[in-house]
Amino acid sequence: MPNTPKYGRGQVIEIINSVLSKVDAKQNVSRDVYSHLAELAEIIDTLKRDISSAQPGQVKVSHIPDATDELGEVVKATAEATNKIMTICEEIEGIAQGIAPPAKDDITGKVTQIYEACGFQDITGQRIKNVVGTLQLIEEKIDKIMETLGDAVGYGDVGHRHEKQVSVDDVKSLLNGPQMADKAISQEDIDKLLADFDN
Amino acid sequence: MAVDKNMNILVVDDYQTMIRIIKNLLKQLGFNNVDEATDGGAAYELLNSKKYGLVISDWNMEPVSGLDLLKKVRATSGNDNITKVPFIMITAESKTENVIAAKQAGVNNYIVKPFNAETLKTKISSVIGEF
Repeated sequence: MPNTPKYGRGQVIEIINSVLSKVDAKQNVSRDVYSHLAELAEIIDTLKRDISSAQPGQVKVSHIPDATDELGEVVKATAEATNKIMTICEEIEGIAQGIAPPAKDDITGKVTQIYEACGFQDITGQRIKNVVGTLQLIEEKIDKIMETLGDAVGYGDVGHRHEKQVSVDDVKSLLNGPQMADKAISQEDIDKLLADFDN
Repeated sequence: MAVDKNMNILVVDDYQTMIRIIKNLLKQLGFNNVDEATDGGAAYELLNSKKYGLVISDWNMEPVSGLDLLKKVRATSGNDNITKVPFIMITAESKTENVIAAKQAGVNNYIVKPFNAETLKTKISSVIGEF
């Protein structure tokens, strides 16, 4: 509904009041109906405020991108780990060439099983790709709903991607799991930081 | 007819990990001449550049999927090396409709991921003969 006009709370109540006063005067419509409609307007208004306070814009600019990035890191990390495992397996196979049967065959058999198991990376990668697709779909749906509700829910000003506030004094805020490569500090940085405490 | 283990095999998958797995398993089976491509378009170029005895392809790839590659291969005219190349689909797409579509497009065999070395060997044997 791209051309649907958007009304503020006051306007909606004003319109309802106006219509009802005319209807009421001419047809003596029950005051209950008026009361229910006013209540309905209030509910809609409350709903808009609730949606607004939930910061739907942040879902678009922060939450979904954050989730997508995290999933991307999972794919990257599992690919790296899998390639490392396979490199080691290839080296083991090379070593096994210098060993006499049946030990050689036993080692090769076990290495084959590891190769087979490494297929998990492809499968999980595809599943994660599907999840990312679903997240993008959710983002589009939210976009459409928010475009309809418009400024009434503060969607016009979505702001920037939020960096989660972390404080030494807020234990809960310190639980964030693994950091993205570009945001994490290195072991060297940590060592240096700790050494600064000792100085 | 004896299987020529020196024949060229083309492995097509957009995941390097999977290419590496298949190549290693093929190596264990005695096949060392293995080329790789990461989508159907690149694979088709390779098919035009030399003769392959077998294509092992994933389905879900962009921009050219494994099914599109298979259809293009079977529709190629004037080059039997391409048109009749044995083609095995290795994919996570495991719905009946997928298998039917692949069969209708001319696939020789179909392996569902995850798979093991024994399944790979069995399917290859069913397509190119015992080895």
